[in-house]
Amino acid sequence: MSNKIENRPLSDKALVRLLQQGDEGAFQVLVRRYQKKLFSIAFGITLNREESLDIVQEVFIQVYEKIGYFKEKSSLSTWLHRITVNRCLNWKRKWIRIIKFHHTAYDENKDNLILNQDSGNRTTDRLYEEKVMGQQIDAGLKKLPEKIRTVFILRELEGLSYNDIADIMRIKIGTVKSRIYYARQKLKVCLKPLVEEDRQ
Amino acid sequence: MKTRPSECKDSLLSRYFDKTTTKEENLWVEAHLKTCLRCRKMMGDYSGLSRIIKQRVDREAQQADFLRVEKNVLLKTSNKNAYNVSGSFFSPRRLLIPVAVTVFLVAITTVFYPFKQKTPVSSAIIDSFSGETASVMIFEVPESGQTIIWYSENSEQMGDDNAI
Repeated sequence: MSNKIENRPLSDKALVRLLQQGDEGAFQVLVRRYQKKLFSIAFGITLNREESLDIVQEVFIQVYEKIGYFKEKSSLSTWLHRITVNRCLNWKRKWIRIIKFHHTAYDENKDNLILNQDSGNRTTDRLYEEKVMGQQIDAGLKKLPEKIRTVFILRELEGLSYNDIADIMRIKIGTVKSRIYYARQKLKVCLKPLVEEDRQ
Repeated sequence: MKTRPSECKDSLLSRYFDKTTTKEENLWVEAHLKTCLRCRKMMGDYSGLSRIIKQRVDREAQQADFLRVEKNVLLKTSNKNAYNVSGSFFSPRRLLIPVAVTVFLVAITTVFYPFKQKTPVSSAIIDSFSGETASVMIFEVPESGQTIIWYSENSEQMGDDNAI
């Protein structure tokens, strides 16, 4: 059954129906369809690759357990986004993140390892530049309060409408607009050198 | 310190960038952008910001091990039962609370409810008098030692209300 599913494009609604029937192949399709999108959101909020992968994993397991209760009041993607955002903003994770921020050595070592592995394909200078740039962007994003960053990320990375963001975050549309505006103004200042460089 | 011209509407520009402005607002912003260098620069900054953040996240996504995620998820879920719509009512978790409540109620009933059911108490008529207008009967309940005097008028409305 799973091969048949993989070979034909399935709408999200049809996918939900198959998932509710307990179709394992449909679940694999769901994972492949959404894992990168959910990772992007999780990374935009947590700014940590490994933690974001853990979150994505937990989201899919939760979806597997709760799909029977999904009443399609919102779309599948909105539901998935909401679970991901809630997982990211979960207070336990927040504390883990605070602790991890004080132990950056692990990630740095890991990045250095990747830097060495990839050096055959790309120049080391270029990779070093990318890494420094990444750190600058992360530092800029970290300056935004988490809930403002979340709204901004949902808009910038997923291109979600203000309505969808309001629905996912359970806030008013006016709040979405003001948070996006605030985030842009703040980042424009924090990341000014990078933005100027990008323009050239 | 730079001051913005009074006609510039920064928050409107942010919404225009997101394509969420109305037709009238679009016309206003487009006309304004033709004459305002500051706002044109701001639009450029918004595009630049959007691009560098997307690139940043894409780079992380390229290095992320999604195959591992897929394997882990499929492995963990294969050991679990899906709570699908048809089977959800009988799922173990759903049954847990009703079963626990039933066990609790049974336990409470067992502890507090007396095992021996009281059998109807027998009574004996001690004496009875009948007249033209009324009748009286005297009962005695040996177990509780109660005496019941039953007075009954010989009318059409005679009934339980007349008991004393």
